[in-house]
Amino acid sequence: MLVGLLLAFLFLFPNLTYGVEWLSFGRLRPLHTNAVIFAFIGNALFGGIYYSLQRLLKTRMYSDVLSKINFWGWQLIIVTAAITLPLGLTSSKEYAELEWPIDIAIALVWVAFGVNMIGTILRRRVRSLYVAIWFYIATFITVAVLHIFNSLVLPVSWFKSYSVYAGVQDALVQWWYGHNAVAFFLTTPFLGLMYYFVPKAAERPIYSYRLSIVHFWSLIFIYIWAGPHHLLYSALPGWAQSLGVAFSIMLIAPSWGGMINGLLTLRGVWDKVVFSPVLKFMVVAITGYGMATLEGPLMSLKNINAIAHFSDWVIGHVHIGGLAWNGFLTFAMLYWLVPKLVKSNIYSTKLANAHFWIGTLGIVLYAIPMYVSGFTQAAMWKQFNPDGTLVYGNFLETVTQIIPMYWMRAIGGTLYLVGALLMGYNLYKTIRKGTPVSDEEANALPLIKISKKRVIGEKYHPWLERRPIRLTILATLVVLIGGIVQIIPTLMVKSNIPTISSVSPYTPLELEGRDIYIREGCVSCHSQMIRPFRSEVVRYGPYSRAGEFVYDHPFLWGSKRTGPDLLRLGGKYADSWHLNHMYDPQSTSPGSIMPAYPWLLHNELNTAMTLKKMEVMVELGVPYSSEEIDNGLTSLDKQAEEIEKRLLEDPQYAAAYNAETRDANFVPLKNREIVALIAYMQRLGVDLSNALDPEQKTKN
Amino acid sequence: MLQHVKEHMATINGIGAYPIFTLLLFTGFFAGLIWWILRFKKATIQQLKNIPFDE
Repeated sequence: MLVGLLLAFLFLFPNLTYGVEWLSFGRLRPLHTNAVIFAFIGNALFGGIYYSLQRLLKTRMYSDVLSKINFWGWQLIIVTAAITLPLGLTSSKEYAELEWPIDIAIALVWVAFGVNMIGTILRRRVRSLYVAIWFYIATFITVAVLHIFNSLVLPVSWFKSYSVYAGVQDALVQWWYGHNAVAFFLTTPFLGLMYYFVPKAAERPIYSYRLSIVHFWSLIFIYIWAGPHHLLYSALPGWAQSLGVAFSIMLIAPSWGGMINGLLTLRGVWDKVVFSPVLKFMVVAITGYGMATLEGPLMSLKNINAIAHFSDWVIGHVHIGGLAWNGFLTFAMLYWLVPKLVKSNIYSTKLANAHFWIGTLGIVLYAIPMYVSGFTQAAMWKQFNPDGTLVYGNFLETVTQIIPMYWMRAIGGTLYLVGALLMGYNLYKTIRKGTPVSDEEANALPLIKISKKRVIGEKYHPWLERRPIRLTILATLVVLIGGIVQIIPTLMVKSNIPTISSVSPYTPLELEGRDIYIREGCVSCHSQMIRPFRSEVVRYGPYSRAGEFVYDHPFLWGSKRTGPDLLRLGGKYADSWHLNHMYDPQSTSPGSIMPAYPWLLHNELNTAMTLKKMEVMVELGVPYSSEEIDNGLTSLDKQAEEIEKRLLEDPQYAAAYNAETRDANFVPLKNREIVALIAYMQRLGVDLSNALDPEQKTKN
Repeated sequence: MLQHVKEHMATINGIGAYPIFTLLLFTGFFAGLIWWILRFKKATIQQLKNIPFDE
């Protein structure tokens, strides 16, 4: 949350962390999303599951060792993430940025959690599995599948790897993962927690158990199909886009079924809501779930997506989900759980209520400005003059217009964080006045075997509920159907990605430049995906083709346009413009909110891995010849020299550079990182422009 | 829109069965689910509902 707030202020003061590489926006943004998803929400769901599972099954966890591995392993992963992401060690795939050794650690810890959970279920002392546990099981298996398939990479070194998928396929797999990580890491475990903690706090059973069964099966069945709605109007095949839209709309039904089930559980206790901070947090959390799950499908409609995508609307949407649904449900759980664990009452109900109101105000002040800003951006991006030119041809005008919204958002975020700090204090005081947490013995009787006679004429679901393994397998199958239907045809059918003959692999220098682009997290703010709209084609150039990205391991389409799209950047500006722009963005673009990257102008480019990188690319199907690899460093040097020559044509820079030559640790310009980055940026989109003849160009 | 679907799908052998299979799978899933939950006895439902309170 703190990192998020820092990011919000970087929108307002882009050079707040000037010159500190590891505090630049592009590196902190993945840290923010990873910290919220894996640290905050991950720990909340583990805590909630460990508490409720043992009570619902009347038995202790299967293995204390596995529980400890789960806890300490997870915290270690979080610490490694907090170190590696600011260092720029990233795969650049959203919410899966961590490099491969950490990915393996995540898989191991996750399996430890799953084995522990299934083991506990097998030794349970109650017959039937409560619905919350099904949600936990679905969470475990689906996250495991998603994580493994999306993290398939070929390592170059310990902390550098390339996705095995390229371009369109990488995008599809990534958003199949990204979408379902939201579904099965942020939604299903929290629904399980809702089905346990809401009835407990309200002291009445869930409104409709039948509805909860429908909720579970239809949610896990439908959710997995909807991933492509993150790629509408992109170069993804049309049929996959339509499938994503249709299933997204269908998702409203189970999601709202769940919301209604949660809210109606509170029927008859609404008077308690007035006084109980726990119930208040739950009401807003469940309402937030309902809002976000209505908004999501609406945003998946192609006509609405045309407005929402790449804009701040998406940021508003995810924060309704994160702050209201996940955040508030976690707060409710903590306010209910901590006093119970330390056998005491909450230190101050007043303070908890204050937290509730400050937090709610924070969410409102965060989300509304983002909606306003999203619509403003979309409207300004698309507005034409009568003569067919763009009204806001300079992208920057659309940025400066929404700065007041970024101010309000930062205030909203601050309020939310202040609320969380109040909770921290309140819970600390509660723990101090309570008794130390002691082990509660599980002392239920073991189950006796059911005689054959008793199960005659038994319905299928009670039968299934007693068989967790079969339930797990069935849930896995249900989840996999959607993924298989979408991904296999895209991976197999060649015609899905028409080849473009002029598209060729990156040169060694461009490849290194692309890796710097990845390291600095440029993709956080700049897309490389021009949708087939008149407004985008006029602004950026010919729309994106699937065949352009066949050598892009990983793809860098992005999901947000804080700055303009860069797909057709090549040749648009002179090399020296790029150099000045990276050194001081405000000098070339007054009013820009892009942070400066001064270190790129000094750092020496590390070419120790260049050849290895090319070899790995060959293994992934990029057609570098052995000759090209052998001459890799020579050709890199040659291309760098040409760029150096052009840069030194700028007399002002040449003078400054000549002064530097006297430094003891002087690095020739051609060996610096900026040169590689410029090489990459000047290559962007050039291949396609060469392919399109002038007639076609005007048509586009 | 439709021509895009056709273009990509037509290249798969025996594609005709694909949409029919998918439709059957989809409707079958929900028909089965509804049939399933409607057959629950009220007493069973009550018992399942109360699991969290049975500590």
